[in-house]
Amino acid sequence: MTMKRTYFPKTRLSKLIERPGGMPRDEALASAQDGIEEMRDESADEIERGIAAIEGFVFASAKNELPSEAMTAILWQGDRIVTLAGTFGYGMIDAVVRSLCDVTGGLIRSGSRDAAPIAVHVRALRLVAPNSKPLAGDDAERILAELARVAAHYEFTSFAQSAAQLADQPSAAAGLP
Amino acid sequence: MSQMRLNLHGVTTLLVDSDHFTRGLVAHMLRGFGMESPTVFSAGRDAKDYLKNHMADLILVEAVLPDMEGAALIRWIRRREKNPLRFVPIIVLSGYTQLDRVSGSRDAGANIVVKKPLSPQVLYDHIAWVGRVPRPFIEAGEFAGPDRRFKTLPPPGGIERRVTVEDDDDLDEAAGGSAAAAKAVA
Repeated sequence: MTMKRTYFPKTRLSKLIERPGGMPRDEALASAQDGIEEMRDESADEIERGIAAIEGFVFASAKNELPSEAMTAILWQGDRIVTLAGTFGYGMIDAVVRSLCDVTGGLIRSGSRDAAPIAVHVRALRLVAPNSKPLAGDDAERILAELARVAAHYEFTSFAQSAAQLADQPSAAAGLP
Repeated sequence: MSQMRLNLHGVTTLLVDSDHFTRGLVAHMLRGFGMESPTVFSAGRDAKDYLKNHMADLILVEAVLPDMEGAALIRWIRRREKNPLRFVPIIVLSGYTQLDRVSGSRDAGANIVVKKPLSPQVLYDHIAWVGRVPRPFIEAGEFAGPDRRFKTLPPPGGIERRVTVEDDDDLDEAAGGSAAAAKAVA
């Protein structure tokens, strides 16, 4: 028999935020946004460093294969570039690096060491990096179309798709309320 | 209509995230809201060591840490019996490649999971939500954490008898002075 206990805690956070004073939401958000903007220049450098780190793994690969540790490290770098690109509005980088993460995650899950699809993404990332020359004409669409073809070839499930599928499933934990 | 106003001055936060730049970003946001600078760690083990002797009013934790799953840290916090720490609001920050950890974080007892990239609006509104919307804290089998039935989740499986706890001084103290109730409602 599983017992269930219920508590009704009043957390310190709940008490503190209801005190008189404080600042209105709009003011708080504007103040926070100002703080973020101070980091904009630094964010471009961080993205550049992240891309360089990924390039380092790919360029060091032998026989067009990557060890699993390198794949994991690329995924970690890709994840943080997604965060940076989304926060600071680098739309093309965001699209390219999400595709990189999806492909890298798929390779890891399938046990593949194939460096080729990662190398294609890294070249695309370099083209859209913050310090690179602006893309001409419809280059952006062509790059994304090419990456979509690569992803389609491997038929990996994207992280976004995986999350959506999991959200539709009941909890795995036993006896959850 | 007047807009929401929270007094976040003096609110302490523990932020656990593997990336130094993300830690800086979140710290900027929190300070912008009027909160204290967060205490930051990159690894779960360091956060655990800190929490053995310190308290925080809010915990922000990445879904995957270098040395453990964020869910493991959350489970450890939620099982700190007789300690008010266990009731602390916990917001999980999930990176794009960590989205599959959402259900695991929820099952571990997180209050809510927020996807990165974070915007000030999203973070502020989620802090407001965990602070303002009261949720009972449930212990049932392996689970300890905020009641999830505010969503349309199925009823508990395998629970034959429900007990709430009343007038338990230790628990009352641990809950920060709240009333907790005790009645078998078999």
